[in-house]
Amino acid sequence: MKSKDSKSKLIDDMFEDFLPNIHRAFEVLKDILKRPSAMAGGILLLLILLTSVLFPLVFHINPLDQDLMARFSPPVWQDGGTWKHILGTDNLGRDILSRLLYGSRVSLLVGFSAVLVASVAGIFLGLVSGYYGGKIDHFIMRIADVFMAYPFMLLTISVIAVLGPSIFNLIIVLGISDWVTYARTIRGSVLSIKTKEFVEASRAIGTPDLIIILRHVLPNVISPLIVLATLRVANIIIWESGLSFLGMGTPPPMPTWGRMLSEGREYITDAWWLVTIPGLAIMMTILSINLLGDGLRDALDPRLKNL
Amino acid sequence: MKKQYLSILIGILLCLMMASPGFARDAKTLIVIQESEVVGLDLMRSSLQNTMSVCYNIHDTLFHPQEDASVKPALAEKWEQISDLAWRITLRKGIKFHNGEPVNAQAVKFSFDRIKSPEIKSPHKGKLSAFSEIVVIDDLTFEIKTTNSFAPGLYMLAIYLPIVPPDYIKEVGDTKFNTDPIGCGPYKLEKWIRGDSVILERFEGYYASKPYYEKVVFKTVPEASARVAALITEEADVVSGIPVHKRKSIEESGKAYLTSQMGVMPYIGLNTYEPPFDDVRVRQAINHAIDRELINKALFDGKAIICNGAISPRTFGSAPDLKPYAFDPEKAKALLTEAGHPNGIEVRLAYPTYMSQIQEQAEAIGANLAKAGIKVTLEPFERAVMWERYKGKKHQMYIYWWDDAPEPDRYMYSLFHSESRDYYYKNKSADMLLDLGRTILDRTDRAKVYNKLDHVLYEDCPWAYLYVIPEVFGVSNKVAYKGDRDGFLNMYWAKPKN
Repeated sequence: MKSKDSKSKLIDDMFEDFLPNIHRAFEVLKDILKRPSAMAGGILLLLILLTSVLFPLVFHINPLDQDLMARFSPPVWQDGGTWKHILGTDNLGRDILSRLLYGSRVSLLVGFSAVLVASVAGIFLGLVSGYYGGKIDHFIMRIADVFMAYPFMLLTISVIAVLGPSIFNLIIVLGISDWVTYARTIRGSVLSIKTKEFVEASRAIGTPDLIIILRHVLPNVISPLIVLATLRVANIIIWESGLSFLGMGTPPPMPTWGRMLSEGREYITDAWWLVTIPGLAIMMTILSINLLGDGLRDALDPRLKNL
Repeated sequence: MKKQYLSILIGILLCLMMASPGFARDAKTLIVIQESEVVGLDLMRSSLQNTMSVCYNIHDTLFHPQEDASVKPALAEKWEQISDLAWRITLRKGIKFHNGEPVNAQAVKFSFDRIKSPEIKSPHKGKLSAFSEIVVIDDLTFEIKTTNSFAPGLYMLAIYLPIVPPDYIKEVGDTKFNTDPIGCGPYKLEKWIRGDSVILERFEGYYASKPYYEKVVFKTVPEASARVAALITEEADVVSGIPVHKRKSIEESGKAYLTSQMGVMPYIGLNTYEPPFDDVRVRQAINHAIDRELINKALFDGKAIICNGAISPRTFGSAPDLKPYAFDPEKAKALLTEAGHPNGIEVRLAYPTYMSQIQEQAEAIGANLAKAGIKVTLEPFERAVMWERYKGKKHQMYIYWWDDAPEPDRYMYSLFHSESRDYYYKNKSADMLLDLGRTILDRTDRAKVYNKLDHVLYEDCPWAYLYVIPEVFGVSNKVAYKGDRDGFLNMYWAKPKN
């Protein structure tokens, strides 16, 4: 009976916390709106996200449809370009705009999902490691050291070579290789939080560990994590492109930005749009995420404002 | 003040260093650029195309191989078949190696024994396995014997048996011979600058008419566009490894032209041991589903030769009456339905990633097959993985290639005889014809055997037949040079254009 009480109380408390949390979120948002670069990044990212989700409503060209006789048709503003293929066609006569849009889904999906996998694993292990300390801490941190010592690209490439290339494998592999960063960040914050008086007090009145971790520790260490996760999304997108470029990403003929780059490389001097356009797309996405991430960091951590 | 002078001096020196040309260009020097550096200069010890190209300028063989897989005299002056199992060959009189050693029957015997010896580990040993021994008759005459009659024998000798100097090798050893070779070819080695170039000098004592160019410099440039640029800016006279999409720019430059050499013949192997390809109708359906003409036009500017069967149309023995499988998705669908797959089939197509344009060929073929209801999953593999899986019989459909040598035995035996490779296909009548083809000595009879073989494989479809993509060399307009079907750059034949 007693444990049930404490559980329902926890839920009540969470609802009570909900309003101030929303309030805080608004504060952060307001803060961001005051920063033009962060706002630009946010708007750009929002646009990219919306486009990649909603484009099938207005756009109907299949990215896999080949028209071999129309290969290397240039973008519309160049001599020989047509409105049928606004950004031109690639080496097999496939529409580049369509491949770019479908490719954005892969890049963003892999980027965000891998960060989700990595951050969930990282947060869990970081919390456990930091809060309990001792042997568990040692154990988890030594595993983390092993991961840190291993060249990341080599690890991913060998795992993909064994499992075979697919979106799911890519997400898992990138997620698993990246958990260490989160775990170490979280653990550091937990170590300083857990000695604070309010945590000690809570422990003194017999609150179960789970509740202390979720109610008192986690909310206080989460903000650096949000910043970290945002910036990591950008990294993962670049890694995904890199792996696709090496032929280790998603299996062909599915379009991804990295693959578009690698397929266009052979023709870089004859048809510039094959590599330039996906290259620009990668650049814009990474830039927008980084701008937003920097803004978030400043807004969430007032101490860094003047850095 | 002194410091100022010093810095000016250093500045002038730096300018001079940067301005100094790599090689003095004069009309008697030929500059050749290839894709990769030579690994050694002993022809017996390397099977790499770029390395062998350099070696053929230094070393010579008994015969000159011809486009129709016959031979013409080189070191050998005349020869006769004295039985089904032996040739008697007479050398030209008075030929000398670069160091003055005589080229005689003993040297030929020494060369033959050397390439067969286990210490050398020659990659060409297998190609000469049909030959058992050389018997020296007199100074210029010898007999070469085979265990079974071996029709392509002289052609194999013409390509794979360089004649090397016995005394020199005994004196310096095999390792030194690989870096400082002595041969009896038209050029002798002047200098091999590692990582940069191989410089050859004309051999004044060459037995036939002397080559025109006094010096030939072989350089290496790995990047294709840089090689093409060097040709167009006249920094190079002959360039190998020119991708199809660069060929137009060379032809339009007005500075250089293209000459064809060997051809690359890609094919799609089908695993005939397992369903669905154990049914010949499914294999024929695949052949009918590929639009070779369109792929040729789009990806190779129409320069490829459509294959009408397993033997390249350019190879001796190819059946001229066979028509390439017509592109007909409806017929392919009908064949699939007949074979019990009314709703189409799902297949895997493996290909190695290291060949240029392979990815787009695989994707284009995949799109072709989809139109006939054949759903293809592409499987790109890295070089070693592809090969391991190939030998492990793990592929269902796979793209590989061979060069379309003029001599059919050179690739048909390796690829179709079940004693050589039976990973995905085995056919008793093909085995029989291949055995017959290498033992019948009369050329017209041989042609009939290979015609028959071409017909058998055409019907049975162990492959999806594709096309032959002719490789080209780029040659400066100042130079007259015609590429050879073996793909080697023998600069003996290069001359100024006018």
